[in-house]
Amino acid sequence: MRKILLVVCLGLPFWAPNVMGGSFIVEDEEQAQVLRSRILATQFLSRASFGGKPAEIDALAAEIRKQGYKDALEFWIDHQFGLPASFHEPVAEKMLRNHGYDLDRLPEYKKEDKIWVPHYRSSSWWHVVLGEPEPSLEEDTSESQPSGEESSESEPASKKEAVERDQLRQRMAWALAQIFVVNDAGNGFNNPEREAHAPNKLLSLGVLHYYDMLVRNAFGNYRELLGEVTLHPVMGTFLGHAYNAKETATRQPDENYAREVQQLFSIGLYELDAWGRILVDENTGEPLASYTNDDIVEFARVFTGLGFAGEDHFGSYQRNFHEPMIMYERFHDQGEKRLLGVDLDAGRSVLEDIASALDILFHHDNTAPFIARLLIQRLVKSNPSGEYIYEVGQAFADNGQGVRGDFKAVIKAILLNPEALYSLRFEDSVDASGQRRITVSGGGTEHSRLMEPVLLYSAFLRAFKASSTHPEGYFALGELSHSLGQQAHRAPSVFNFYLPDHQPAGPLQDYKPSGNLPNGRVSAPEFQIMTDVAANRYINRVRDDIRDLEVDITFQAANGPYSYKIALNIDDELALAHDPDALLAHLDIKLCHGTLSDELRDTLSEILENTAENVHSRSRAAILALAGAPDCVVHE
Amino acid sequence: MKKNHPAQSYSRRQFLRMGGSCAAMSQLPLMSTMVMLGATRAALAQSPAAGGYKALVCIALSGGNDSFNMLSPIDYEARGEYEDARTNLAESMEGLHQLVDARDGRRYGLHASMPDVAQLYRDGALSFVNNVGTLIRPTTMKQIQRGEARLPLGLFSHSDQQRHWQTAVPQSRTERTGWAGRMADYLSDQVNFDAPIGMNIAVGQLNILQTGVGQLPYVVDGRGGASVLEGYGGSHVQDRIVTEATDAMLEDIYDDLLKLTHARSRRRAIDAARAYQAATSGVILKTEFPKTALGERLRQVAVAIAARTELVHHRQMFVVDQGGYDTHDAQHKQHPRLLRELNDALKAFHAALVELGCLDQVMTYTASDFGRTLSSNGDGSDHGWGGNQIVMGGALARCSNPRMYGEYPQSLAMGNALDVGRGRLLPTTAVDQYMAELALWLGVPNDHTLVDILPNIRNFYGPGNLNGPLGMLPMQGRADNCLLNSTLGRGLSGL
Repeated sequence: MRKILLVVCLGLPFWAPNVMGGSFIVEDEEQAQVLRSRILATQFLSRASFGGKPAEIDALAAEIRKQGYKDALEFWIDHQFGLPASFHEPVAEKMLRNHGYDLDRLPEYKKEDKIWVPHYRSSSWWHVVLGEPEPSLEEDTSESQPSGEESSESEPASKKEAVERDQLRQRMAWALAQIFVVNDAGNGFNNPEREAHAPNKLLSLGVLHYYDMLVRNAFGNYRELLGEVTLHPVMGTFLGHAYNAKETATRQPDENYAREVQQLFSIGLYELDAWGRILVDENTGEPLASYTNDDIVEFARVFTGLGFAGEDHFGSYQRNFHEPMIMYERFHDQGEKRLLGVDLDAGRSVLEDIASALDILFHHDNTAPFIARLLIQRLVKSNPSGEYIYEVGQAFADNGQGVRGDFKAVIKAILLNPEALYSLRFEDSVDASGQRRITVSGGGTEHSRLMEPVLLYSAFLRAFKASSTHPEGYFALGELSHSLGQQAHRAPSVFNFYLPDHQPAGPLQDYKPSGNLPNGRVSAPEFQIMTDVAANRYINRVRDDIRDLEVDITFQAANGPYSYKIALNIDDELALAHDPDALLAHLDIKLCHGTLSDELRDTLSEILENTAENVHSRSRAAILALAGAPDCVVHE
Repeated sequence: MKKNHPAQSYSRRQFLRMGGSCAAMSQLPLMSTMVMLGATRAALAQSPAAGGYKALVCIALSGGNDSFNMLSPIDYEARGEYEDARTNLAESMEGLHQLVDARDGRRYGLHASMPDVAQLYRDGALSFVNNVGTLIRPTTMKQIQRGEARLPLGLFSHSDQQRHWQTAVPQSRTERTGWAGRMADYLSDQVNFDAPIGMNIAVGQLNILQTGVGQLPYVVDGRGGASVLEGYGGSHVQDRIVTEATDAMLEDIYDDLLKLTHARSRRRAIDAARAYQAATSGVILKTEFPKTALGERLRQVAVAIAARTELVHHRQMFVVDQGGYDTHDAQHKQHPRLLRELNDALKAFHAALVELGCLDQVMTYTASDFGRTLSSNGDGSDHGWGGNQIVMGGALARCSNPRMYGEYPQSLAMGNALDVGRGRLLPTTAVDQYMAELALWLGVPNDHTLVDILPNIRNFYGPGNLNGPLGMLPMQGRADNCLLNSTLGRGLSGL
């Protein structure tokens, strides 16, 4: 039926023939509003959370209808700002306890005890970012609630809490973790693969304390975060400024942190204007470097004299990963320094020098547009316009109350920018048979992004209401690098999983972007890890999950083997599967923000109709097919 | 000549089976090889890329190998300068493997963790290219001191120097293709026609090095090789639906170029994995590789070399990566472990090439971001510039006693004639010269083609020259008697 309508529809003059979009038939204004609000809620939660669960989408969609689009989103954001933070290290510790390990004895465990620390690090990350499993008493919530507020008041507190996890904070922390990158390969971080020849003493869970610092600061201030990053012993170990001593006759300060704090954490390589445009030398046409090697040498002198807290002498390497590094003044270079053209006086302490150095970076003209672009890339789109970068940069520069670096203002500026809010077009039309039709389409090349594998997978699990059979409700998914090509705490280096400017080979290289983009090129960072191997393995993983509707988890712990399941729920899909069109329309909204093209939807519908009678086969095949569809993996 | 040779009646498939055998090929007179290639494609007989199967294997030592500790001077005076410069980072003399450079008799100590690399050097199967680094043009200390030198962008920075090694365009941060990608654009038309996947194969991750205008490296995994899409083409009802749906959605039907890129990437991943798996599934490799990431990756390379006939590859280029060389800290602990892993993996890979009879046809070389500062930061070293690299392959030793290439600095004292600060050394051999030697050996002609691949090469090396810029490898088109004579029996002496 859809196919016939489409042909008729194409003839209508106000239907732009080159727009690739999906259309939905609606009967009245209320249905139109429900459709629009659900698609927008799904899209928003793909940016602001680890993917919306059906109940969360319904609740937000209801708010959009009630309060209006932007107000509802802002209300949701403000509400998220007020939720308590969930931390990762306590979850990992609890998992370890449940597995029979004595936390007080952790440093004594040896290789023979076979504590696979990366499992606990990864599992706690998945557990926290996916949120608590839905309580088993919860009813199927696929039907849109007429009013989210009324129904939630009468419900028990536990249910309300189950829906209201600190998703935005976790999502922001994950974005920050991809800017202020550490991985699990530092000395003492307990990476059994990379410390193969080191005694496998479990000193701590290492990077989790650092990650929790990012979680804590996710709604805080950039300058405070930069300070905590700099003084964090995990960063000090990872980039080597812990026990970095001043110059002597035989040694010179380590330059690693001095370089990366400029290149990656604050100002970047080139001078930028407020729109993120790279400034060039008028004579040579070459980009203007924002710092020189001399600046690195000077910054390296600033980061001297820091060491682990609670130790009896500089360099004793007891590695306290839980307290900020402290000053060992005798090892600090107290000479004059010149940082990016600013002079620091002699005779200042480590912390005074560091405070000044970080202030210089914080107040540098580059920092607002540089950090703005990176955060927009992580949360919304790969290629923000100059205007978008400018507006987010302005929010970074001043939150409206004269405060610079306020992440809450930055988050709102990113998520509520018109470029984010109105990236989907909804065209209303009436086709020849008199049916009202809403056509959803995106803006194309400059407005989309390939979803990161971990976000795609978390959204998949949440979309199908994943729940754990573990008695504590744990989502101990462990290390998924093999399937996803990406895993928290496992970035290959401080350069993250991909570079912000990565441009994949192929048609993007010949694309001439509009003048809206700052530097005349488009990038698509996430393609850097979409290798030939990763592309197939992701789908293979989803195939396994969908086939059994559960993810098997088995783990050998101190107190015996653990075996439990994370179950998926496709009841909504099964109920619709007798009608392939309805099933696909439903999955299109859920997984593809309504942008699956009519042509493709019709083709898939025909394939489903012709090949399978069984609703189970139809549902599972449709889900698996869409899990790897370009329309559903590249989001607007 | 042609009519006297039975090769002309071979079917292409038969020829490829034969031509794919390294041992069989290397025992045939050069002329016959040329004729046989002519039987497959008329143009090929005149092609500079003719001459049987050849491959390059790049081992990227990511992070910047401290290569003046890997290979340190041991002659009396030079050792003293080395120890003074490196202070607490200096390697103890004890356990070093002594290597002599046949050119001038200078003696070097190879790191204690690399006994097999030392033996391979003494056997003539491995050597070093010394103090090589990124340059735009020949550069002197005087030019640098006067601020007149045109220097690579972002010296001493990982991201920049890794990029420059790969693109060979160190004056740019925006070049999108790598020299091996551009080389594959050229060579694939010449030799690998009809191949189901391109000649550039990366084990582990994507890289710029092998990305060309029409080429993207095929990425396989160190552990599993290619991963096929499960259920694709299967007969189960669910698999039938997904297969048909997948085929439909991966057509070129997208206006959004990210979607189009995604569709093409998935299409390629599905097809190439099937082809790769079919080609490699029958490979039996007896050589045991170490169970390290690098060992597994080089094993994957050996598997793909063994499957070259099935892959229809006359030329292959591989990139594998060994990370962890950014030894700002705990260098004394980390660096020996890394070099040991490298030693063990190289030893196994060499043995596998002997097993496959391909020793003379495969050149393995290392690349690294940069050398490191000679001065210590207390517990490690920082980012430098010039460094020493390893090259391995049967083609090396045809005519000479064990020798090295490039120029090892006369002095490693702080403030030496090449020290641009903190013991970062001005390279005396450009990356371009090093790579040109390998590209010419693989079959790139020394004309405009070489310039397309290595745009700065003419700053270092003239056109038409029949010897390579380093004088390291036997080149096509050059009368080189020892090339033919030494071919026989190489497989044995390589052991």
